Parts: sequence; structure tokens; C-alpha cells
Amino acid sequence: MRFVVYLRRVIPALALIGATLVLAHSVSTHWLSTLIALVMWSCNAVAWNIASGYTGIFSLGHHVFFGVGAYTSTMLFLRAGVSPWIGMFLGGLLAALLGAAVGGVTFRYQIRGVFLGLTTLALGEVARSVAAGWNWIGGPVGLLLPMSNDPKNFIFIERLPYFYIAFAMLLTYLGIAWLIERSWFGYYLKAIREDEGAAEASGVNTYLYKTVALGISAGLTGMVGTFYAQYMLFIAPDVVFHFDVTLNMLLGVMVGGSGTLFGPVLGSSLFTALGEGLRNLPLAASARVAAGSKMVYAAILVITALYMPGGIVGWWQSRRSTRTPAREARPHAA
Amino acid sequence: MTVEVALQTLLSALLTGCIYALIAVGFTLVFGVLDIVNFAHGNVAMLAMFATYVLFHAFGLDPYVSALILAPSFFLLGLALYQGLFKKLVELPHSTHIMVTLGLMIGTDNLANFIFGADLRGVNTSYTTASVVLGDISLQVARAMAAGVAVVVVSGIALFLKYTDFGKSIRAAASNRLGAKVCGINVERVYLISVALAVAAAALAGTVMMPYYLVSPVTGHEFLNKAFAITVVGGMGSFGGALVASLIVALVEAFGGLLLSPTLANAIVFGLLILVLLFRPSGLFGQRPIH
Repeated sequence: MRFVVYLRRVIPALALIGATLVLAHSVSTHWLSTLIALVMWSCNAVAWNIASGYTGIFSLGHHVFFGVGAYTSTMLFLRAGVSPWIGMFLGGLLAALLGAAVGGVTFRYQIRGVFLGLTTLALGEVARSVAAGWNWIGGPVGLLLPMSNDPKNFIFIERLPYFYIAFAMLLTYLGIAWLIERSWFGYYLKAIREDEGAAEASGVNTYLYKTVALGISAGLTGMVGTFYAQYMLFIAPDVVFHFDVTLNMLLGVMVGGSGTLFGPVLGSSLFTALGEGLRNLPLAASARVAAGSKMVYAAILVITALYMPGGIVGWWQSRRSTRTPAREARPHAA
Repeated sequence: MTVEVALQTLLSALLTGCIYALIAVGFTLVFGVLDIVNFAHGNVAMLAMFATYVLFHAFGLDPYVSALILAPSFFLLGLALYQGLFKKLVELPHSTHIMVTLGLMIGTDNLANFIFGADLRGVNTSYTTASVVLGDISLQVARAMAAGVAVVVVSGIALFLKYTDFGKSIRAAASNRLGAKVCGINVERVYLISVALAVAAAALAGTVMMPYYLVSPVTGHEFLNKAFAITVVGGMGSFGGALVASLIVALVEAFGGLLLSPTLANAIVFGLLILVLLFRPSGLFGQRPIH
């Protein structure tokens, strides 16, 4: 029986993976780019969810980790000739260490909830102004990567290889999130999210686990930063150190379902699709299209926060739980 | 650095500090009374600046005339904001506060961007470039006028909180919501007036800055950052602390920018913010530790 239950979960997952691969091979270049963006933002959302959704660390400064990952691999490649395949892991490691350091300092001094949000937001501003003022790393203009077909250095002319890399990253990230969700580590994180004082009193080293959770989340975000740099072949402080990066993660997670495995992917997919739809609005200037879409996103964020705090997955689970009880589905409280 | 430069920087920092105080008091008030951190607070000033810009270019209204229209209008807007949104929000968890007010911030950023575009805009009044020379230093008239308005209004709010019955209700609700309710204070009305007052004060600050300041859709973020830094440095919900901290933040920003680099002025303010959070989390003048 157990085997049947197992199959009931594995078969739809494999079917979805297969369908995505078929889709990637059959669509036009434009839609393939959209698909890559969707997968990339899903990776970011899954990473952010490990800190915010599972642990309740409401970071608004994840663009710092994204930017550190992007800049580390790019600088190593441009200045030292280190392949971004290696740079990606070094960038991720540096971002993870930075995340752990940020957590180590802020958690030590009991900064949490709204104040952690504001402090990390402030950190993002600092990172952006430092990157823009530092000419050795390109200053405000940013850095360009050479356009060539150089698979050894993570640069491709075709888009399909990028899709495969992003998709492999997403599956890995989901695997990591799944492992965390099912392990004692994940239970500790959820205990911290629900009631940090109670978790501490029960003997959970909340300081250690929060710091590790933020480190993992930051490291995974940093690796997406490298992917972004290699895919766009251009990074600048106003792009990779911009709050919009964190905003995209936040929108995907909150609308899809905070603290759930597939919620972040679902939410990010919805926003990518919505962005595609809004792009075709009959507005003359493209800046207006961007501003208009963000107004729609903001409205969705407010409405979700007020009326659907568990996101789509949370809402679905609470609907199901009225029929079959004992499935957890609750919004997280900071 | 010569003495003149130092004096000039000091004067300009003090004038800026007065404006910061006018913006920060509302942020502190809403935080102290409703326990809501309003990410959209800076954008209230930004919207008022654009409103001033429109009134100036469409009807030729001087910003100080606009202030007489805009401050009451934004007070009404604040009443509506409380009734429509914050009344519900105050009962909900902090994570919801962040998302909703962040949503307001992003929404208003892009509303301004949609209408006006991302360019910097200003108004050119007869006194925009006027200045009075005092010995070796010069005093910009527009900045001095704005600072004067800020000092008058902030003192007015301080006296209102200190000496009127309603002001006492506000302070009671800020220090203990349930206790105030038990004593028969209409807490809802306190919330309503606090939000409206905060919105009106921020809008007034934006309006009187317009003669010498350029506005863009992201201008509000600077104000939010400053208000946050001031609230942390002064102590959460401490009104007097916020006033002193406004001057401290303005001084640190001005002299940090002068001695190190103007582009790093923001980073220096946040260095101060983080130091205070780390070593004195209840702020320099507050009693309440943060959570």
C-alpha cells in the first residue's frame, strides 16, 4: 500500500518534469526565455522560502546575497580566469558565509520580525551604494561578460543549455527544501517560526539553527546570482543589488504559499505568466508597462496578505482539511 | 576642513534635521501607538511633493499656499487609510503589516512612476536660489523656511501630546493598549487620529521641501530609511528621542559625507543604525527593547 501511495506522488512529479522538458524543446526562443526566467525566479523563491517560510526570518535583503554571488563569479572569471562553474560555488559559499554573518550578528541581538526586515532592507541599500562606488568591480556601470560559445566557462549561444542548468538547479533546490522539510532540522525551524521562546525553552538552539537557515538560504540565492550573470552576460549594482530581486522572491512565496514546498514555484510561475500578459498591454512606453505591472503586483500582494495569508497552497490545503483533517496549513506569524 | 566649511555643514545639517523630525514623528507615532511599521510612510511625503509640483505647474500655486490645501487633504487621506486598511491591519500579525505596507510602498512608487516617469522634478520659486549671507556662511532661505515650519509643527504636536487630554490618551494607548482601553479611552479614535496626524505631517514635510528639493518616484525611500534610522536611534516610539535622533542622523550624514564620501552618506547612516541596534537596541532614549 505504501508503495502505491508513493507512486501516486512520484508519477505526477515525473509527468510534470517530462512535460516541462517537452515544452522547453518545442517552444519558440521568446517563450523559452520566459520559461528560463520562470525557473530562475522559482529557484530564488525556493531559496528565500527556506529563511522566511520555514524559519520566519523575514529578510528583505536577499538581493545582497544574489548580487554577491553574481559579482564573485564574474570578478573571478574576468580578473583571474576562474571558470564560473567553479565561481558559482565560490560565490554561493561567500553568500552563505555573508548570510550566516548577518544572521549571527542580528540574531545575537534579538533583532527579529519587522526590525529584521528593516535592517536587511537597509543592508541592501548599503550594498548597492558600496558596489556603485567601488570602481574596481565596475562601479555604477557594472560588468560585461564576453559573448561567445564557451561551455567550459558557462557561456552558451543557445538558450536550451541555460534552461537545463536552471531546471537542474530548481530540482536540486526543491530536493534540498524537501529534505529540510522532512528532517529534524526542518522541525526545529518550524518550531522557531511558530514560537521562538517556546522552541528555546524546549532545548532548541534557536540562534544556531536560525543562523544556519539564513546561511543556506543566502548560499542558494548567491548561486542563482551566478546563473543570472552567465545568462544575461551583464551585471550592475542597480540590477543585481536592486530590491526588485527580493521583491520577486517575496511575491512568489507569499502568493504561492509561504512555508510550503511547491508554493514558491507556483507563485513565481503565476507572476512570470502575469508579467508576460501585462507586457502586451497597449501602453506606449515600456517604462509605463513596468510601472503598471508593479502596481498590479502590489495590489495582489496586499490582497493576498489580507485575505489569503497562506497563499494558494495554504488556501488549497485548508479547503482540503475541512474534508480530511490533519494536514497542516497555517500562515506563518512573525 | 576649514572652520567655514564645518560651520556651513553644521547649519545645513541642523536645517535638514528639522525636516527629518517632521517626517519621523509620524512614523514613530504610528509605530508607537498602533505597533505598525509603515513602509509607505516616506512615500506619503513623495506623493505630497508631486501634488505640490502639479499645483505649482498647473495653477501657479506657491508651495506654501499648497501646504494649506495639502496638509488638510492628506489628513483626510490618513483618516481614510485608517478606516479602509489600518483598522483591519492592526489586529493582524507583523508579517502581514510588512507585506501590506510594503505593497502600498511599491504601489505608490509605481503610481508616481506611471504618471510622471522616473525623472527628477522640481519647482522654481522666486526664493528657490535666494540666500542670506551671515559672515562666512550662507543661509538658504527656502531651507530655513521649511525648517521653521517643521520646528513649529513638531513643537505643536509635542505640546498636543504632552498637555491635551487627547494627547494623553495617545500616550496612554502607546504605552499600554489594553490598559488604556480598560480606563475608558477610545483606542480606535486614538489610532484614527494618530494615523491621520502622521500622514498630514509627512505630507507637510514634502510640500515645504519642494522649493529646494527635487522629487522622483523613489524619493520616498530616502525618507523611509531616515525615519527608520531615527526611530531606532531615538528609541522605539519615543517622541523626544526621535527629535534628538533627527538631528544626530542629519549631523552624522552631513559630516560623514563631508569627511568620507557623499555617495557613502547613506551607508554611514546605516552604519550608525546597525551600531545602535547592536549595542543599544532600545535606542539612545527609549526604554522599550525591540522585538
